[in-house]
Amino acid sequence: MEGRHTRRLVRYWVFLSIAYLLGIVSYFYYGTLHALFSSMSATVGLIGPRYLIGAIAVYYITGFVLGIVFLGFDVRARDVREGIVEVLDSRPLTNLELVAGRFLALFLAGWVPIVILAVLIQALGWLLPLLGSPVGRTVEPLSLVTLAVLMAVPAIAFAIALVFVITLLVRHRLLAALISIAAIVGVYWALFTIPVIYAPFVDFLGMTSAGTPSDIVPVLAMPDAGAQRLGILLVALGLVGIAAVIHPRLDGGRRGRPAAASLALVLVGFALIAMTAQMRIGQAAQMEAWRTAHEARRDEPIADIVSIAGTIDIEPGRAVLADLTVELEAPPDQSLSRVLLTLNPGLVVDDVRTAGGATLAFTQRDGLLDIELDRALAAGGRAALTLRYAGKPETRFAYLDSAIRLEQLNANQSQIGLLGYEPAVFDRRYVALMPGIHWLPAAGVDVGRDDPRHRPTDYFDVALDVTLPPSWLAAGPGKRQPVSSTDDAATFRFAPAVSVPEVALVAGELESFATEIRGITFEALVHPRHADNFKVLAGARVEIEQWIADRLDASADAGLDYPFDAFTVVEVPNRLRGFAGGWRLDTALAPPGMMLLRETSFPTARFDFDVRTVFGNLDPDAQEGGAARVNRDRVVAFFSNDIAGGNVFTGAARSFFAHRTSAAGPDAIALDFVLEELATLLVSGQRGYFSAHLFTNINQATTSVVSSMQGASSIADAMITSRTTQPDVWNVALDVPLSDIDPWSDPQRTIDLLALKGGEMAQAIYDTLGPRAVGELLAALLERRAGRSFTLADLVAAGADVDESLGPMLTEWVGGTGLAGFVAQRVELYRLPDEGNGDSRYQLLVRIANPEPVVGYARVAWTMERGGSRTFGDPIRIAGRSAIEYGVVLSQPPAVVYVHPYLSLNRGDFLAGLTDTAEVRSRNAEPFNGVRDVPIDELADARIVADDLDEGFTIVDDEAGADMRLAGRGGPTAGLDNGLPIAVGALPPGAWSRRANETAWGRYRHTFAFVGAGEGKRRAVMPASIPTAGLWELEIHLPFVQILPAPNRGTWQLEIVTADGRETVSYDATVANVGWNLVGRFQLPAGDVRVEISDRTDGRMVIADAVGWSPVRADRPADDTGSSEALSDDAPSDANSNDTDSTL
Amino acid sequence: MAAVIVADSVTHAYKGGTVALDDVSLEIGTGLFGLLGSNGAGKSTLMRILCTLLVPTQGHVTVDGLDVVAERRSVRRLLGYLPQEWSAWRLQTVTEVLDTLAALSGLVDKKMRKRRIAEVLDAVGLAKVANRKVKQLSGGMVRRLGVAQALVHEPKVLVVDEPTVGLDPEERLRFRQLMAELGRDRAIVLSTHIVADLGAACSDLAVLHRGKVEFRGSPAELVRRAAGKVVEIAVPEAAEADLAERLEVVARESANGRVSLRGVIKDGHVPDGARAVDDVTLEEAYLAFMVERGRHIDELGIDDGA
Repeated sequence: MEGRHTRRLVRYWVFLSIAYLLGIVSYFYYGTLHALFSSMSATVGLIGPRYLIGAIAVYYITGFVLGIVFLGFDVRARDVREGIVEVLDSRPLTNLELVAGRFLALFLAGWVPIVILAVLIQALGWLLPLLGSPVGRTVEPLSLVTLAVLMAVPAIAFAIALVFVITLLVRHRLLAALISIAAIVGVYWALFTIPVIYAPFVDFLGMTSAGTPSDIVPVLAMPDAGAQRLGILLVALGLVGIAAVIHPRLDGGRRGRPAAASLALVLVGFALIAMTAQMRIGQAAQMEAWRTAHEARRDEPIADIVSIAGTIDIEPGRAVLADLTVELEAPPDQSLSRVLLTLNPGLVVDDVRTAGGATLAFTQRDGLLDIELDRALAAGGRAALTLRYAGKPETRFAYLDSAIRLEQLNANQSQIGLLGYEPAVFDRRYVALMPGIHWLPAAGVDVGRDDPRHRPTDYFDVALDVTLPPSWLAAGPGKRQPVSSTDDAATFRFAPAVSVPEVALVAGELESFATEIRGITFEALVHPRHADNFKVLAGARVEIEQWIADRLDASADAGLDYPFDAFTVVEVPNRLRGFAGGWRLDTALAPPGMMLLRETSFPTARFDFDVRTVFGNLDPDAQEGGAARVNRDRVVAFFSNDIAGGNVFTGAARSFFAHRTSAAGPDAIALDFVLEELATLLVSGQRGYFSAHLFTNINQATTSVVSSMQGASSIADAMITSRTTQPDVWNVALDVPLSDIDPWSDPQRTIDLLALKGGEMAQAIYDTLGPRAVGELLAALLERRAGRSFTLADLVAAGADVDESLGPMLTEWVGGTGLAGFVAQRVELYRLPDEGNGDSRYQLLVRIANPEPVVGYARVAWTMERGGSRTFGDPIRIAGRSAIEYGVVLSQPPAVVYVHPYLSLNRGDFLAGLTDTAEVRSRNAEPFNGVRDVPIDELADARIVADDLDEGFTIVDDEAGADMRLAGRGGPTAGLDNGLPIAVGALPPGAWSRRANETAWGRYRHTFAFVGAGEGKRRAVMPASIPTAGLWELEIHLPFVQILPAPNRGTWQLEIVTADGRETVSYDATVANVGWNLVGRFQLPAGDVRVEISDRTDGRMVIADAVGWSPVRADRPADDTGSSEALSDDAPSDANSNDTDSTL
Repeated sequence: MAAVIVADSVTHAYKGGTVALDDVSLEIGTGLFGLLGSNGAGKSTLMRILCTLLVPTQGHVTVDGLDVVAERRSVRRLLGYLPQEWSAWRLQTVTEVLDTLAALSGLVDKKMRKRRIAEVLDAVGLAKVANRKVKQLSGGMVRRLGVAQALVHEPKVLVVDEPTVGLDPEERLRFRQLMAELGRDRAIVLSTHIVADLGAACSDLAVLHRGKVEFRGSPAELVRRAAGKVVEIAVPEAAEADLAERLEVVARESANGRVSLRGVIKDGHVPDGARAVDDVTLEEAYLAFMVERGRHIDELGIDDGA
């Protein structure tokens, strides 16, 4: 009856409709996003609905739970309201029967639709592709079961029971609804606040129970989820019993026994929940114990592993059996009587012997294998040990000093779990033995490994014979060489020709797609059901292979060969942790000779659907290279756009360089970063970016990317721009040399700092020297230091043959905080005599000064029309305190000229000048292409300028009654730029805010302050000092602001304040141009003068960019504005004057 | 006749001290038992105690030998109850309501339920609206549905509280017939202030007054007690007002400047010119009984059931 009644309630169908609408809409929303964009970026697949339903199921369930509140609160009230309560009360059923019956009916009314929704979504996934729809794919089946059973059943049961109890206690259904909703919201709040190890206590929805879905190793839930879900269910049943006990209806039996039984159920439920939490707490404690044990022995001498060779027998899901010979070398300055190795605690060592067969004593505890040598190993001496061990690897033993401990994050921060959370997979269906779990012995303890400043990377040779089930394929370092094969097992050998710092081994029943390019085997191993893209892209195979060949050739020409005989991309389950430990949380997906691809990445990306051809005008066959080229470019862009650690080019670049040598010493972090960037630029022509830290707040990261996408060449590029333009990152960059950074104090900031300073350094080197020279640099360094670490001195020495300026520049940038600062002093354009064939020629000359003492690099860029794409000149080196003139002869006159500095105080591109392309003067001069020195002194500007970034720039708010000047000055302040809020969005800000702008005035950095129209109570104050009394011209500088076209500017109120008094000037900004505009002439006394620009305007906003004071020459007439540099947004150099002569 | 219901010195006081029942003792056997009394006399309290919805402050009540407190669930199996304020789930159909309540009363067998529902619907005249939702029923239909639900599980004891409120005369008549029929093999406790509802089938009744049983006996005994207390008189209209002081008027007829009055004498003295009637009705007898105890007809809320 209850179910029937519920189904006849309008509110039930309203809730159901909303829940279904949300469910279906979100399915199509994510499905559409996935169809449209998943082939554009390897990161987009993270929101693929096939693997996402489980993750977002909690939102579906929440919808149902909220609906249940408004059904469950009628547990008694409806009977009273409808006048049947006494009849019911006089029936011979027990309260428990009454309440449980209603509970069951409501449960079914809430749960069955979820099951139907799950089936419906799956049916759509089957049906839509058959109908030709690009949107709509099936959902991983077990995740739907997780949703419908493991999550929904306890969640709905608990919600109903809770509402029953609350309703029967307060006996007022609306009050009960409010309390119930408050309780559910409270649970949400707690869930998003407390660490996930305590989440079992509040996670009645099962948010932290659902595992990441996978086709490779499908799982119903997290290993500890069963007890927690059962616990919630028992608590729910106990609450139902309690509801029956507290039900006001007179029952036939005694209440004591049911109450005790109900309470017992609740307690047992809590016990199970607590047990789950305790398991998580215990695991966290175990991690901490391991970390402490390793930390305690951090300072012990570390042997260098020279080589590891032997056999690895893998019985998937059961055991790893290893019989290895490990060659060790004592430190060059210290003898060893013991050898300390890290080895996974799940692998039990049976036997340790010397090469001569002598048994050695050892202890194995906390993942540390402590071997007592039979005789001391002399400093620098070598010894070989044989190790036999076996067991099931403990997959949680990894990344002991990880900056982020997943178990300490709250549910919100746990979004990082999208990047995976299991350090390794050892399943009967699939094995991913990651280096982080130390299934092979590693020298020393497992803390401090990622800090090359204190612990150089250990490189070793490896030769392993790996035995697997017969139908399995494996990926490892280098080529997989078949050794033997029987009905029971297959053995492969991995023996790369070069040393490696780590070894990953991934194996399973995978499908292989392989080709050989320039003698290197390129192989992809994917789940058999994830091979569609290889068919879709089959036509582009030649193009892709040629692209790879070109890249290999380019590197080889520069002397940098790919060092392995194979490069294997292998698919890994989504739950495999894609980031390592330490402060960096660097990608774990790029071990030597391999690249690991998440299921959500290339294997399931929708390369079958190209939005540009379906909805756009792109005809692939009409493009150069045809559809094959188009598809090749799609694949290249796909990986370039990755920001989740799956960028194949970054991964391949590591195999070229970073897996072969790395830096040591105080500059090591910065040098490693720069050289890895150089290697990536060499391999792909683009930079990469990955920070797992950002995934603890993925919304913020996404917003950052979206806001920086305009003009970016890739998502990674947008991410870099977004991260490196933040004022607080710059503040650190200007304060702390890279060699002094403490990465642990703020890992994300460190990554951003490296991306800013190290990345720009790498880009400057790459652009300046060119790919070939960069390749030569890397090759030279490898030639000297492969298999070992290098120092800044080694790098400088290696670079000396390539470019003599490289050493000083690196030294300065790594060790100092000084930066170049560029000023564009003059842009000159004139027409040269036409060429003999009649082609026109235009000479563009740009003078750039670098008044700072530090050398810097910049490029001149120009566009042929306003808003057009920029053409970049070659990089120019500009020494400290010097100036150059850059010349280039063009066939058309450029309209806008910019300076594109590399790492400099300018922080970004800025406008050098606009030209009048309509009337270009002709000059019979020699064409000049190149760079020539010019005296810096000639470039002084006669104006006394007050800029928005000057010390004295102040915002005064009459209403606040206080001087609001620059809260952030003197220290980094998030969200502030030199004390003013950073303007975001297109709307005029409500308070004075700051924005960077290429066309704004600035000594180096080009910014302006602006505010939405107000009542004149908020003023920007721009002070200056006038050296001599007399007649002075006041000019105001305006940037080009897209959201503020001239008609919207209105009239602004300027007050000129001197010791003699105050004068208000109305300035008609609607007729002002981009650049300097004359406001008027004023008779000023010597001393301080300030211009106050109020927010009062009849337009939409007011800008305070810069004001300039110039003495009026005696021979200059009053109507000569002298604004020769005025740069118009509408028409060039149309000088503007709101001419006023005044004496203060 | 063996007592089916036994109330032994039952007292019930509500929170606040209001004594609704004061040492009430009753034995009720098979047949229609009428429980008369004015509003607030304690009828509903007694009914609710009988139906196990209320625990008496003192005393004991048994139904078929089962204590209504200690063996509440067993007692409920014997009971069919139609409370004074009755309605049903508005979104359910008549059949669904009966089916649910029958199931809750222990009628597990679905076929049996179906048969019983058909029988009771027929009995109460709701067969034609069996599939109509409750919210679509008239007040009288809802009342009849109440009777049906009280009967659907064939209870041994039927407790009906003001069952005919809202019924039209025809329905009342049918109800009386139904009660008479049902009363043949079960105990029916019918609480009402409409004396006519008791009908001819009522062989036993009690009158409650201020929580106490003031009368216990047959309707005939009550009528007998009223002998000489119910009179008829014809007077000029101008004298009617004086007469009203001495007579609780039950019926009045006016013609040609004279008015004929029938009523219960208030002060024990038959007014001059009045004639004691021989055909005292049960209603008049109840009125006479209550007037003797100082109650006015308006307070009693007596309805002639017309």
